Amino acid sequence: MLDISAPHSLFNAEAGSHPLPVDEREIAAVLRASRRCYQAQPYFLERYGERGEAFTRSDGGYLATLADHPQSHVDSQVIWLARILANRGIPRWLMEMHLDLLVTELTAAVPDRAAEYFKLHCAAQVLREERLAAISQSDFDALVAKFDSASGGGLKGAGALLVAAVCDEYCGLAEAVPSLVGWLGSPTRFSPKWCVAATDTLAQARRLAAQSRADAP
Amino acid sequence: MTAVLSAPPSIENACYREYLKALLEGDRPRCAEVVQEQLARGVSLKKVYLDLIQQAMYEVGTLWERNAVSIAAEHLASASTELLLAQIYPQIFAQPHKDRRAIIACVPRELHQIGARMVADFFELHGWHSFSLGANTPTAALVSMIRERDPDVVGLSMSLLFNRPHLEAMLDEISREFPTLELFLGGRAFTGDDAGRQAREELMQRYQKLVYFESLNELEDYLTNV
Ligand code: B12
Repeated sequence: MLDISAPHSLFNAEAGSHPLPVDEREIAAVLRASRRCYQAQPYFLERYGERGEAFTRSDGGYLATLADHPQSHVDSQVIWLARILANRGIPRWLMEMHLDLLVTELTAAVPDRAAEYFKLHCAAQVLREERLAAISQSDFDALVAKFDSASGGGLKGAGALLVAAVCDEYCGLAEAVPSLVGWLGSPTRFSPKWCVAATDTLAQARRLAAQSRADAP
Repeated sequence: MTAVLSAPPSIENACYREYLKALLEGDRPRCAEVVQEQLARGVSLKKVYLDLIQQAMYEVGTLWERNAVSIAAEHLASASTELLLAQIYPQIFAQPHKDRRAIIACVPRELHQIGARMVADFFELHGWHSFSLGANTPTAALVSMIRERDPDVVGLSMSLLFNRPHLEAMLDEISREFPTLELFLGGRAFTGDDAGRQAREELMQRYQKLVYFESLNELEDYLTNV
């Protein structure tokens, strides 16, 4: 773990100065995890293009370096970064996914460090638990399926992003929904049918989250 | 009743809001006016630093997190704050001085220097001679400055926990070269969450001469009692 000022394949000038991995095997694993993120979620590239790609790589690199730190530091940095991204249209569910892919790729690349990388899994678990406290996994999946059939299709994975943003809102991130829907629910980009389905999904997800709040001890 | 009447004045919320608005707009003259008005009202410099200037910078950070202000606005606020501190400095420097010296520096790679600068000013306010080396101080430069100025205290500031390896390398070198020198540590990296708390505990165990200060309040206790 080192700060990088020389050229580095994960370096992103816009992300400023932060640590990146130096082990070539880890760098390759971070790149693979980034690619799998865009493949699973075309939203990344559709909305943010090359800039999004660069941030996914540099964020992935930073997250990989956290594995050398105590769990409390990993958790606080993951929560911090996930919060920043959620306020910019990237629900924390995507951070869960990114972390899971990083753990898989890093562990395959450097099996000796599996225990270190497992810390990233634990941090993803913290985010997952917060999300599930808002909307259970079965309700989450049901809302996504409903959106997929009502919207007439379009961008793969969009339903999950909408529901995940409502979970973030429930966790106090006021910008999570507006920063996502400004793009994902925009009539200049999507059909009227899609936009109606998006509005309905948000309303239903909010009802479920409100119910969870009412039921919370 | 008398105690209530003579309680030292504080920064009022409306005044804080006005300062923050001016800071975000880049209205430096207004920021400076607000600061001078508060000092003229008898608000202590510590309160102006903590409850106005620092509070506003923390809020700028929160607004940036929420995507409510741009990176450019954050840079503008930092630049204005540094200018304000420079404007206040002559008032601080007017204090009578004693034969006590402190060097304050940010660890290598650390670019957050406003806190370190406030700390240096605070030493000055308490009659010390302070030397503020600012952001990203190279260890070799700090070591030679210590040799040259023979300080009573060296204070190190760190805002980002990922700079810890640089801090430790710096502490290793200073402790080896100057084993009896008092070392102070502070900064946002160590406040707030468990990770920061754990890091500072470990560091204080490892470096015998290292003392951690949470804020200017604890530093004031030290400076008034020393
Ligand atoms: C201004 C600012 C910047 C400016 C700094 C300009 C400057 N001239 O200093 C710039 C733009 C350079 C900057 C850069 C970055 N920043 Co910045 N920045 C801030 C911001 C908004 C305010 C900092 C500040 O001025 N605070 C006011 C001072 C007075 O407070 P303080 O530092 O805590 O100091 C007090 C005490 O801690 C104590 N103290 C401090 N040092 C010492 C030392 C001693 C000896 C003692 C006794 C006491 C003591 O006394 C001081 C006075 O009370 C904070 C937000 C925040 N909550 O802090 C983010 C923040 C610290 N930055 C952050 C980040 C991420 C970055 C960057 C990585 C962004 C990027 N991608 O480029 C870079 C990193 C640069 C680097 N390598 O250092 C994050 C850190 C989060 C994390 N990951 O932990 C924060 C929290 C923003 C956020 N909300 O997310 N930043």
